[in-house]
Amino acid sequence: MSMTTDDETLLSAYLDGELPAEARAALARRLGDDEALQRLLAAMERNDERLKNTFDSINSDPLPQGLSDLLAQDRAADTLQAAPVGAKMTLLTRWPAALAASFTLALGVLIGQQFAGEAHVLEIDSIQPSAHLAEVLNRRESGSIASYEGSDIHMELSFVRRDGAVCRQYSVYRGERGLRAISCRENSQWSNKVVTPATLAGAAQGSYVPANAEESQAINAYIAKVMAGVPLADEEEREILKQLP
Amino acid sequence: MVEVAHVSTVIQKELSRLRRFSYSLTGDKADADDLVQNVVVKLLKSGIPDHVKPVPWMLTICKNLWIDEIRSREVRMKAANDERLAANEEGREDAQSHQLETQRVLEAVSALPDNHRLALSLVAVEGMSYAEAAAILDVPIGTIMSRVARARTNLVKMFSG
Repeated sequence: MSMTTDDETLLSAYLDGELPAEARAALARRLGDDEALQRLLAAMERNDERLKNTFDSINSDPLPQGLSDLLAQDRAADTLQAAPVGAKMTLLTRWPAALAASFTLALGVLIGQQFAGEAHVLEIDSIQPSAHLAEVLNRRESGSIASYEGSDIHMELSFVRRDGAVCRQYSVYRGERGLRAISCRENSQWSNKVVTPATLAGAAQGSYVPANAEESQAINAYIAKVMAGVPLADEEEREILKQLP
Repeated sequence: MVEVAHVSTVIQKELSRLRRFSYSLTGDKADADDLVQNVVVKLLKSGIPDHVKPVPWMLTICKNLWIDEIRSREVRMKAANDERLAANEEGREDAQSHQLETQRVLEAVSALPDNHRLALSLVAVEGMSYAEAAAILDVPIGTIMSRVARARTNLVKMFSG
């Protein structure tokens, strides 16, 4: 018996459980004594399995690093968003005064003159970066390092705040110790919003980490609180930097 | 709009499905993971509207990105298959057998019209209902029924030939 398009459509819908009860029962009766129909149904079923097995094999492969990082970053942000809001900034005042004194004098020039007199680090309403740092924030892409009078400015990432302001995370190091900050563009100028101590580790390998997890958490907490979506991709960042003065 | 934290949970839960669906569209694992990454970035940025079901929404975004971006860059199955053929020559026997099966499936699926492949992936691989697939592809349910049936019939012919 030759197969019609209607038969093929019926068999396919039968396989998907999409036939009305009456049509399903009628087809089941035909299947009982039509071997050609049975063979076609079995072949369709077998092919569905082949497709599932083939395409599901991608889940045996590890996630690419970029995707893994993206998801891990977002998990971290979720955890921070769930943390009690009142607790997160108190840790910043525990930065030892001696440590603060040595760097605020040296790096306050770049981070902001007002900051030079502070004995601890805190979330701040507004501290203006120096003109040179502002220039770096306007021009340099994330991943680049700019040098200025013995300090290295590491541009780390950019993101857009929920109110639309562009923000940049960066670190300033003199030797192995320094400050990490987030500066946001408000009223046509950069304003530091969070400043924390940071320690450059494994300088020879070019990698760096904050002095401790709490300090990193403070930066992450601010980002989790204000960031819209995810950090900017390279191309998005370049487009935004082009529009800055 | 669903909060970002919830979107992240949905993505984590449905990541396997998203990767599998992407692979069925691109026919290449690396392209599939690139596509998944683009979907994740878009979802995290834009969120998921409150009135939609998260999984169909996710697959719709995936389908749209595939059509708009991946295909426009002409990353097509044929090139991926050519690479696989070259890789097969150095593989062990069992690995070769597995790779040949993969290659046959990918070649057969890539020979289907795009619309048939999409419908078949959603229904036969992802187990979506005709109504859900129709919503994702923005076509009537009858069209899904017809496309899935034609795709299946063509695959039967290809695999038996």
